[in-house]
Formats: sequence, C-alpha cells, structure tokens
Amino acid sequence: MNTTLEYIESYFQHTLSPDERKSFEQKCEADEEFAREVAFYVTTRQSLREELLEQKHTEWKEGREAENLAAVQDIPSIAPAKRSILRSWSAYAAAACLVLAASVYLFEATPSTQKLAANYVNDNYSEISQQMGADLKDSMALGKSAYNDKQYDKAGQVFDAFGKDHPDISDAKKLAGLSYLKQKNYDAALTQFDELAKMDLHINSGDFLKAVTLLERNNPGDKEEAKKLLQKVIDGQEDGSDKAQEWIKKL
Amino acid sequence: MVNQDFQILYGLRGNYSERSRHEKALYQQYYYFIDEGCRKYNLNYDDSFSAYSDTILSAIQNIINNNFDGRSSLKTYLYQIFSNKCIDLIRKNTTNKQQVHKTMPVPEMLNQLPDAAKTIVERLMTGELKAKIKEQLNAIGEKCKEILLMFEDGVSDKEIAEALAYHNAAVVKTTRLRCLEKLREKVRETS
Repeated sequence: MNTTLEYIESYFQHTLSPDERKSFEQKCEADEEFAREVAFYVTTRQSLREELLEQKHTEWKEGREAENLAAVQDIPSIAPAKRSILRSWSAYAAAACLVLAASVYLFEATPSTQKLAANYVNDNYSEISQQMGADLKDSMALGKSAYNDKQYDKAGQVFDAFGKDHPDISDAKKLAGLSYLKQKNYDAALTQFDELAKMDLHINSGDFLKAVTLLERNNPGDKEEAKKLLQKVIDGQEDGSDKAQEWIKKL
Repeated sequence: MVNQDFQILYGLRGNYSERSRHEKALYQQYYYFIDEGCRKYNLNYDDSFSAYSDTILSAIQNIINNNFDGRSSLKTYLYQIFSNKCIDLIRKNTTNKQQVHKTMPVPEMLNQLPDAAKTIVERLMTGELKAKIKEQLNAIGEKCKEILLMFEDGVSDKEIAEALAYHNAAVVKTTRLRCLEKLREKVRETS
C-alpha cells in the first residue's frame, strides 16, 4: 500500500489534524518529490472529473433526446382528409368540456381541504430517501426502510424512540410525525410536528406540517387553526411558504 | 427553498441508486437554462449545453459534500453557477474554441493549499502530465477506472462496496489506492 497517496488523500479530504495539515503544506514546499506526488494526485482527480463530466454529459443528453423522441412519437398522426371532420367534432367536444367544467365548478367551488392535504402528503412523502451514514443513524435507516415498505406503525415507533434518545435530531420528529400522519393518528402526528416546530432550525417545516395534519383531520376548528399556521409560515418565510400562499387562497 | 428543492436535496444525499434518479430530476428541472445561455450569453446550443452539464455536476458535488447551505433556492444557486460557467466559456471562446469540459480551470481542491505550496504544485501539473494520466487511465483496467470514477462522482467507499460487491469499505479504499498507485507507475514508465 502506498501510504503517500493515502496521506495526500487524507489532506484533501480534511481528515488530518491542523498540525498534520501544516506539516503536509511545509513538505510540499520543501520536498519536490513529494510535491510531484501531490501534483500527480490532483491532476489525476482533475482528469477523472473531466472524464466523469463527459460521461454524464453524454448520458444526460441521450436521456433528454430519448424523452423528446418519445414525446414526438406520442403525437398521433392525422390523415388530412379527416381533419375537417375532426375539427368540427373537437369543437363539440370543447363545448361539452366547458359545460362539464362549469358544472363541476358550481358543484364544488373550493377543493376539499382534506384532499388537498392528503395529496400533498402522497406527492411529497410517499417515499423517503435512505441516506448512508454513521452508526448513529442506523435506527433512522431502519425506520426509513419500514416507512418505504409502508409499515408506518413500525416506522413511527422507530422514529419516535430514536427522537426521544436524540432530541436534537429534527428528522426523527419529522419522520415520526409523517409515519403517524400516514396511519391517520393525527394527535400523535401533531405532537411530533409541534415539537419539531419548537426546534431552533434554519429551515423548519414543523408549522407547515401541523397545518397539513389539521387540514387532513378536518375536525371543527381545524381549518381555522390551519389557516393561522399557514399565515405564520408565510410571514416567517418558513419551509412550505410557497405552498402555504397557494393554499391560503383556497381555504 | 421550495419543497421540490428539498426532495431533490434529500435524494441527492441518499444512496447511490437514489442519487442517480434525483440527478436526472435535477437535470430535467432546470434544463431551460440552456435556452437562457443561448439567449442571454449568445452561446451556441452545444456550448450552453456543456455549461449546463458542468453546472449540474458541480452543484451535485457541492450538495453531496454539504457545501450548499440552503440559504438561497436551488434555482438561484444553480443559476449563479451557470452564469459563471457561461462567462468562463465566453472568455475561453475568445481565445480558443475548446469545449468547457476540455478546458477545466485549476481544480478547486488545489485552493486548499496555501499560496506558496499551491504555486509549487501548480507548476508541476503540466499539460504533459495530464495527457499521460488520461492516456494511462485506459490502461489500468476497467474495474480500477470504474472505482476511481465512482469515487470522483462523490460515491463513498461504503457505497462502492455495496454497488460493486466488495467485502467492505476498507477493501474498496485499499483497492482504490492501489489503482492510483498502478496509474502512477504506468505514468512513470512512459516518462
């Protein structure tokens, strides 16, 4: 094993102590052979990055082109002789759609708030990314795996227990809340999101998720309480403020 | 930041397969920047495309390494990088017609060194050395190259071990360093 390359890698990965870093830097200046090794390492990393960029560039470009091609192929071709008949039929169809849309609008002037909240949870939290990490996060990984397998009761228990052992980890509260919300255990979800909202975080989704939970629960007074929370999210530019602005107009 | 940003950030910091999916999502989401590059910076489509790909790769690496602090939206952050890349490209195009990925600036990692050490190392990073490294990268074997490229892509040794069925992260690290050593020997042989 070449320990020089390992030493150089450790420097660039910031795993050396301040004294070791200083000694590394002095060695670069005093020992030309060592400086050559560093130059080799950095140039290799640079060359690899360029190759990687070319690979991604090709991969993404191909993906994009394939998508564009699929979109073009999805457009059905229409024989010219049939176009005028089709045009008149499409006029009738458009008129029918307008009548239908108007009746739907009159029948249900505002979308169901429960549906709004449930759709939001489904769209954004059907699956949770599973990060690789330190041992401390193993329980979190277990909880995430259970959540993604739709074992929300198990996930809730894991996140809840983990959150109690590590009260400073906001993700545990958020994920415990989401697991309870998925089980429609709204009170337990609100408790978790409430604790999350009280944490001093740069980005905090606690209030917004409380509002989502209240809208989905839809008990008497919930909508009013959710409105206040959404307004708070907007005023404080908290996480979810874009969605809050959109929703508050509909409530 | 909007929730879509959070999803992408969370996914990019997830495991390797999760990451690939979110890389594509990020790439698709701001694809319209390419038109902006053509319109605002008067670049041709290919150049704007290169600047955009380079932007996405840089942003992904910053996100994975937690160098994106989340104070601005992802869009603002990406656009800032993209603008800089476009401006760099305009400058380069005035002197030569090489593509952005062919003329990389001095690697950011070199900026970790203090000025005196940086100058010495930079002087030793010749075009000739780079050409030899690029040539010999194809001579170290596919497996070696794959591991080195994955590591460069921000994949941890632990994740490489899982993806390529190595026993553990320590084995990957040893293999990876041996591959680097092999490359260095091959470069030396051609000198």
